[in-house]
Amino acid sequence: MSPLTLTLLIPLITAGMIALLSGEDRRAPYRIALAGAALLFLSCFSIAFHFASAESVEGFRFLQESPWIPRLGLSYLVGVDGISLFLLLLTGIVTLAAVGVSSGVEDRPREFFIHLMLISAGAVGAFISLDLFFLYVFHELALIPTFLLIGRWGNHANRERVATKLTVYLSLGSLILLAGLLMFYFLSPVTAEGTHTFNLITLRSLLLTPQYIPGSIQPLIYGFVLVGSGILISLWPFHSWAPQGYAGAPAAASMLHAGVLKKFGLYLLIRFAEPLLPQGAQSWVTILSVLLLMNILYVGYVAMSEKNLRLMLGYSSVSHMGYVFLGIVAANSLGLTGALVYMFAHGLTAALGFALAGHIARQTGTVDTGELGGLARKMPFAAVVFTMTAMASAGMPGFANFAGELMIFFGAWYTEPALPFHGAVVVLALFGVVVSSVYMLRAVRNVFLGELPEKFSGVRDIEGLQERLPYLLLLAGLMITGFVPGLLTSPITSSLHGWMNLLGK
Amino acid sequence: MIATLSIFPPFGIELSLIALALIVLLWEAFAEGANRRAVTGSCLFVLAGLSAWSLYYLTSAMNTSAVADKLFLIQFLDFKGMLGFDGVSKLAKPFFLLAAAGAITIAYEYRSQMERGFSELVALILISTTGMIVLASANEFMTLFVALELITVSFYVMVSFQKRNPLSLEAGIKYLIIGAVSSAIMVYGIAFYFGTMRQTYFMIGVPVPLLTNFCLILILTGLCFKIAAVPFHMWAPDAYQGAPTPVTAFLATASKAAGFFILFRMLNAAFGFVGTVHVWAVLLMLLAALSMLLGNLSALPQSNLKRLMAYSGIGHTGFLLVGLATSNPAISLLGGPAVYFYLLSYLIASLVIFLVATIVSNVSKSSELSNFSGLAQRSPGLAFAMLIALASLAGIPPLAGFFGKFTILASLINMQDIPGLSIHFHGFDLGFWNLHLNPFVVPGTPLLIFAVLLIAIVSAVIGLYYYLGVIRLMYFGKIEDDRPLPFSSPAKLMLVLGTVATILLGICQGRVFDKASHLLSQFLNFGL
Repeated sequence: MSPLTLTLLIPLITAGMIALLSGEDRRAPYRIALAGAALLFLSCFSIAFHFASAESVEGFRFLQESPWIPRLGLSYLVGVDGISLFLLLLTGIVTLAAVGVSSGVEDRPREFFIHLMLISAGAVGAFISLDLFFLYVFHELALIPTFLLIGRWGNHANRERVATKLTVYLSLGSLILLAGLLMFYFLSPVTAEGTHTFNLITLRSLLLTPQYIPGSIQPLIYGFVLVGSGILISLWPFHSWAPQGYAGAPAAASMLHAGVLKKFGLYLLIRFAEPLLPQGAQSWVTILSVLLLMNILYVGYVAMSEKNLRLMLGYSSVSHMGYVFLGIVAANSLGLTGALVYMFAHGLTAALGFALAGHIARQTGTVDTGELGGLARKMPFAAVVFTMTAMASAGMPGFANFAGELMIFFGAWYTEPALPFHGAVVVLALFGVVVSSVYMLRAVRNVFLGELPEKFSGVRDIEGLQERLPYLLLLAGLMITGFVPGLLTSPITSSLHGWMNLLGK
Repeated sequence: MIATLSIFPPFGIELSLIALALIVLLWEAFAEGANRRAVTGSCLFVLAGLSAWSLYYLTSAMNTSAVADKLFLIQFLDFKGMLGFDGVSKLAKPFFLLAAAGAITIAYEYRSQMERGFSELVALILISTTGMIVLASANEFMTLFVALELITVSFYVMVSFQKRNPLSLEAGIKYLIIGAVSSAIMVYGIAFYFGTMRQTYFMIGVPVPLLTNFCLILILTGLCFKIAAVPFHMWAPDAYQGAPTPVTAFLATASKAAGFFILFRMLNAAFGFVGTVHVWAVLLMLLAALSMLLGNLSALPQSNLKRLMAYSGIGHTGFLLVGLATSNPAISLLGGPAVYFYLLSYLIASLVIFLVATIVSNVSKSSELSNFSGLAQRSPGLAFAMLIALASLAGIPPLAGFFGKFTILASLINMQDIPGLSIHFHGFDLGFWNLHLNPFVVPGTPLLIFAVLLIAIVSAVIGLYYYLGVIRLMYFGKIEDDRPLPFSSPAKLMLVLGTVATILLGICQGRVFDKASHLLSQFLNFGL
């Protein structure tokens, strides 16, 4: 059995163990979830540690394949390469942090942690699967737990409506995506076994055969995949579920969803749509350039005028998806590497932001930036972490976000053949960096600086090593990769070169 | 081979079911107020045995054509080929036995709401189950009609079973009138079939251009009433709401499924001609689109669980019709197994939902949705079973319903080109813009696929929305009374089995799907 399957089983078994607990001990679910998350974290790191020395088949390591539905050519196939390795790591880090900041859950802790573990299992499964069917199924595993988490433990006045909206939107996106995947499945050539296939490794080898999907149909399939995953990624104008959903969800759920699950759509585009539908991708470049600018600028402006800290973080998270799309549009090695680095960095930044917002809301009972102020005096640790998060979000050097943005912009500038209006697109997108520094720094000022209102004199900082550890973990991830981006870029680039060479780029 | 055949004759299950029904009736007659627990227990025991027997058929290679010459007994039991013993009927047997067991368990749970006649209800369920199994094996129109009437007449009685309840009586009358009208239309079609083909068997015949299509449409209309496809669905909500819950469950699952089994059989065997296939495929696609959209939209404002299930059932009929329309090898190879898998997931999930509804209504005396409020706090187990069933109906992986929807969508997208289906544009004249486009032709098949695909996606999302509404009530709603709801041990067993089956079928779909596609393609090759 591949270590990846074992990693996938960790959150599932943890969820099962929590389910078997008796309801009396209210701390036990948290302890078991923490142990499970720590084990998952260690397991992801040991996979990363042994990655270089593991046997590689066409760039993929730790492969395991067992036939699932042979008649349809579906198989359980797991494996990681440089691209999925970091998303797997991201899942491990964010899951541990999300469980870590949830120690205070008093209301039905058993179910809370079961849902959290199921979301994490879905993310792990999605990032290690190399069969599109399983990729899809694992991502959907998180749908109902997310709904229940937001509806039951959410912090919004009409959280039930928000939960329903998010779930309906996400399932609409998934179904459109599924339609695209099925079209791809039936139009792609038949394998040696006489069936169509969802196996990404086999599909890559079919890419250069003359029976492969003709360039005239590819734009249609790519359109379905783009719109479907666009809804999942909150691409403008399909983004309206995200800020509200994240603002309404409990901190741990927004951390996992904004930090990890939202990367699924992007991962699918980079892993599947870009390499396997090259002509399709080419034909959508212009439209996608406009949409991503709307993400960066329009949603950025909305974030700027938002007074609710959680909603602002939600809009900011939506807005930053635009940069990743810019890297995807660039479709060269530099741009895509930047996109992947940025995905990793954004996952950690978003998780930090929502965790801090959760702490502030618990202490002060509000997330309205107009009411808050001067909290730095009472919670210095939180203030420092939040300021660093804001800087990372705004793209300051020293954090992985900067490395990612830089590569994305350079990649988009030096596209060959040149993107339509690529100069204008890159310059306008650059302006987004200014917009995000404005709202991030403004948030720092409004929340932590200035006069401390009388009613907040009793607030408490994030105290003790155990409470601080999740934040330190996330920050460490951001800063280590920010100072040594080579840790991320070299495996990613070598994995990207595999199919780049195939496509002759 | 021959030795085992004599122990397990092909039509033994049907005969045993009838015998069981008669025994249950006599039991009630001779032992006044027969022990309901004993009746239920023995029926479930016998049904379990029969299911094991039917599963044995699934694994055996026995086939009408293979055994007919060898044994006189088989020839006799074959009823001159009027009843087939092939892939479809093999798959139908365990399916309907399962449905009957579920309905009887729900009936047992419902016993406190019934004054009298428990054994009669059980006997009627068994008799109509026989009808369904015979219907799924019918090779000829007279058998089809007799089996269909056996089912429908049993349901006339069952729907209006609570004769003191005006709602139940109203439902019974509606079902009776609509049922009679639809049967009449179908018989008219059968008469035309006999007139053009000079016999009533499915598989021998030469199409007569216009008349064949005419009788196809009449017979299809009659059967579409039974499966409650739009626009022949008006009876369903009232009948579902008025009927006793076990009958509603049986009507919603088994009766609908029986319609699909015979439609698959009849359309592919009697109307499987090259030109005719495309006629019914396109017709069914249109009905499917209408059913999915209207059924799901009408389910949105419902506040009664049975009405909600009726409308959502119409929506599911739409999805199933997509699979049925693509069940001929000339259209796609995936449709048949997709329909079987979808029916199986729908059966299990619906039975669980109606069982929970019965348990809730035992206390609250109605099936209004508001009674489900806060169920998760009262009885977490019940709420979890219902959650899994609803999520399966909504098509969320990794549950059985998802794989059903997946294969249905796959068979739709896999649809082969329908010759002659195209839309001709003769250019536009937009007034003073004076824009003249050259006449052009839009190929119809991709257009049809995209239209139905779009409608299917939208309907599935609408479906998810109202299922989420029920989940919202159960998990986030408030309660007045937090005592757990009482239920019996057969109900508990069924809830556990149903939930486990929904999850397992969603994860290990392969075996069932493989078996179904193997047996159905065997039928198609044999029949055509």
